[in-house]
Parts: sequence; structure tokens; C-alpha cells
Amino acid sequence: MIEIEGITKRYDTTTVVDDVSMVIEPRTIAVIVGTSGSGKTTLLRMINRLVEPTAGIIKLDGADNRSVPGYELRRSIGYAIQGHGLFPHRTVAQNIATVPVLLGWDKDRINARVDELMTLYQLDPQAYGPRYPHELSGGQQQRVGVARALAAEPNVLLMDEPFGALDPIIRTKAQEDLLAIQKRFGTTIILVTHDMEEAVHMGDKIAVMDAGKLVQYARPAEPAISSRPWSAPAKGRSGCCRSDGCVTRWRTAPPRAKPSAATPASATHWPSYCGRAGRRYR
Amino acid sequence: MKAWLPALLRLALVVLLVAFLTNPGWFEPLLKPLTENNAPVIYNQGSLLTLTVLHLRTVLLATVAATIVAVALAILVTRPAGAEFLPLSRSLVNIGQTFPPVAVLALAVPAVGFGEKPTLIALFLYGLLPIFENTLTGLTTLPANVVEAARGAGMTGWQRLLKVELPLSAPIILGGIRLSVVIGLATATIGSTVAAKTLGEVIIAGLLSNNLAFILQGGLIVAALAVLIYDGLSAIERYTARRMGSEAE
Repeated sequence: MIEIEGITKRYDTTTVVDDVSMVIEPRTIAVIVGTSGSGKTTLLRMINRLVEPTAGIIKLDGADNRSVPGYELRRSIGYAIQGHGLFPHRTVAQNIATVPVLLGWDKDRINARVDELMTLYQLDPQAYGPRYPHELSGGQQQRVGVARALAAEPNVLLMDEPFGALDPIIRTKAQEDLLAIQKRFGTTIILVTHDMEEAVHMGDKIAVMDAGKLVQYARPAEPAISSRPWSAPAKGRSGCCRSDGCVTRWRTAPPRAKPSAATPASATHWPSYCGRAGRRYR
Repeated sequence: MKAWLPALLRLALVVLLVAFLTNPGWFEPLLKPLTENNAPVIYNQGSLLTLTVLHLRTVLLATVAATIVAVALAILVTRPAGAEFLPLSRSLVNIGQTFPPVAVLALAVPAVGFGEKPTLIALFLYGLLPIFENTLTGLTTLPANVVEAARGAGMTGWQRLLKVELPLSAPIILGGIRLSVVIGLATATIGSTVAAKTLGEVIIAGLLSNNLAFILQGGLIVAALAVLIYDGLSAIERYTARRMGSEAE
């Protein structure tokens, strides 16, 4: 279980993440959606302390994540990023073995784990293990990136737009693979994306971030996201929906920002993920 | 041009160089027309082979020292703790490059005496800049998501430096060392003005006795060494870069 309590991150005067609290149940997938600059990546990076919060506490299974040094914490948490971030000077097998090597596993255990993960991801360990990342296709690189994040059997996996660089067909396949693997290992996954469709498809719960604030946190099927009449949410809000879910959004600029010539109060700020296909509600 | 032609030319150059250094007598008829008044054709105050080895040793020592200092300095100023020393160390290595080696020799001789030492100092100072700047470039232009992944995987600062940052910058750092070596090979010749045993001795002897054959053989050996070492280091650079799948064809 991951408990995020009153987390705030400020850089000088700008507040990137503003007093966010949420609880992520074990063995579930929580998806954080939001436009760029909404603070979703910063929130994710504060869980494994790549970014240190200005205020607030994050607890992993009841323990404050500041109770161990940052690098030790990060070895126990899987981390997969957009564009995979594989080490170009290391082979696929060495890449996957990164965290187990840091943890000092013995050789046989590392090899067994690397083979297991590669087989799981339909990469023949004999053929692909000794190759370098640039010799793989984009989809294969992404799979290796996720396999590396899962190598040390972490309970928690953080993913920052892991499928962002993939074309739609491979992307769907990668999502299915991830769901299957999550079922198999029971990993708690927090996934950041700006793709609402992906969020609804993957998430047990969806968190919507906007301008640093957590606007909504609910199951995709719960009334808050799917069927509540859009006149009901807080004044000045509106939302967009697809066949399988909706998000709310401030109809005007978020209340913290004063209306100006550039953003008149009447302007409607639609999130990009509402897209052309999204129906809009007011 | 055929792909094997450059390799063949290099091989020919190596054979020629080795033959000339071990059996300079064979080439006497070729150089004979360049001398006057029955002056000696082949340098006769020491073996060319020994001088070449000493020349290479001087360059090697100076480059190794310059590499250690420049890379260490570049690592230091790219860590958060050392960032404020960046401007200072930049100006220091720049001074090393701006100071002409001849001036360094002149200043170093009274302090450390004649011989190899002042030459080493001059070559060391002269070699710092290319290595320092290249290491700096390498360490500051690493792909952001790879560095991020290294942090996210739980590597400590040292582990990131040794396992990711330095290996990834290796081709660029090697480029700096290559420049430094080639500059050093040429500059080492002036070390002979302060009695360092280098190939400069042959050239200076030729200048003093107006013997074109001496000047030519000294100069050509240095040139051949520079070309071969430059090519060799470039090949290593290309190999490391290719292994990492960077844009090198």
C-alpha cells in the first residue's frame, strides 16, 4: 500500500504539486492522468525520491520512504520511463540485470531471473541476451525497459509514460503484456500517462491531476468519473467523456490563476486527451 | 575508392617506418642528394630507434598525467559539489594552452634543470585543455533518460559515474586524448632545445649543420608516428562509439 499524505513540491515560487493526498491499494494499478505541466511526473518521482518533496509524507507499506537512503529505496522500486532509457553500452541481459547486480544477487540467480523475464517478454534469451539495445526494435527496447524495472521483483513499479514512444498496435500489445504480468506478480503499479484511453483501459483507479492538484481519484466505473451529471461538479467545471469514461476539467482557467488578457475567464481549457473523439459536457 | 586502400596505405607506412628505424642504412641512397660536402646522410649521434622510443615515452608520460588530471578535474566540476569550480578550472587549463610550450620550457629550466623534465611539464600543460574540454562535453551531454534510468535503478553517485557516465563519454574523452597526443608528438621535438632526448635532436642537428637529410628524416618520423597514432586512436574511438549504437556510421 502506498499512502501519499499532503505532498507538495515547490520550486522557488511555483508550486508543481500542491497538497496531494491519495492511497494506492496493494496489487492494483493506479493511473495518473493530466496534461503536461500538471505535476503528474513530479508526483511519481517523489515516490522513489528522485525528487524530494517540499512538504508531506509518502509511506510504502506503512514505512516512511525517507527511512532508507534514496538509492536503496530506488533499488526496491521498479522504474520504467518513456523512451526506455536503456544503457546503450550494455547488452540486453546486462541491462535487465542492473538492479539485481546492485543488490548483490549471486550469478545463477541473476541469470535465472534474466532468462525468466526475457522468456516472459517473448525475447529468446540466447538470441537477444547478448545484443545491444540499438540492435532491437522500438517495441523490443520498451519490453526490455519494463523487464529491467521488474528484475529485482519489486512490489511497486513506477512507470512514466512507458508506452509513449510506441506506435498504436505495439502499444496495445504492450498494455496487454503489462496487465498480464501485473496479474502474475501482483505488483502495485503507478502509471503516468496523458492518454485517457490508456488510463481507463489500464487503471483500477484513475487520478486526474491539473495544475499540481489532484482533481479526482476514483475507479473508472465510479459515478464520479463516468455518469455523474456534469452540472453537478464544482462550479465552473466541465468534463469530457469517451464511451468508457469521463474526466472533469475546469471550464475556465483554474481558479488560482486570475483571468488575464491571455486567458480570459470565458476561455475553455480542454485537456488534450479529450481529443477529437471525446464528447464534451458542460 | 576501394575500402582496403586506406588500410593498405597505413600498412605500407608502418612497414616503411619500421624498416627506416631498424635499418636506416638502406635509405641512404635516397637521402644522399639532400646533403652537401659529403656530410653524413643518416643521423650518426645516436640511434634513431632509441630516440623514437624516448620520444614516444615522453609523449606517453605527459599524456597519461594530463589525462588523469584533466579527467579528474572534469569529473569534479560536473558533480554538484564542485560545480562552482568550473569557471576557475576552465581558466586554469586555458592558461596551460595559451602559454607557448617554448615559454614554458624557458621558465621550467631554471626550476627543474635541463633534460626531460621541462619538456614533460610543457607537454602536460599543453595537453590538458583538449582532454578537459572533451570530458566536460561528454559528461554534460549524456542522454537525459539514460542518466535518469541509472538514478531510478538505485545507483549511487559513484556507480553512475563508473558504470554509466564515463563509459558513455568514453568516445568523446578518447577524442580529446587523441588531439592531445598528436599535439604532444609534434611539440615534443622542441624539447630537444633543452636537451631532452627526442626526435627533435635530429631536426635541430640538421638545422645547425645545414643538413637537409637530417631535418627530413627527423620530421618524417614524427609525422609518420602522428598519422599512425591518430588513425589508431580514431579506430578505437569508432569501435567504442559503434558498440553504443551512436550515430557513427
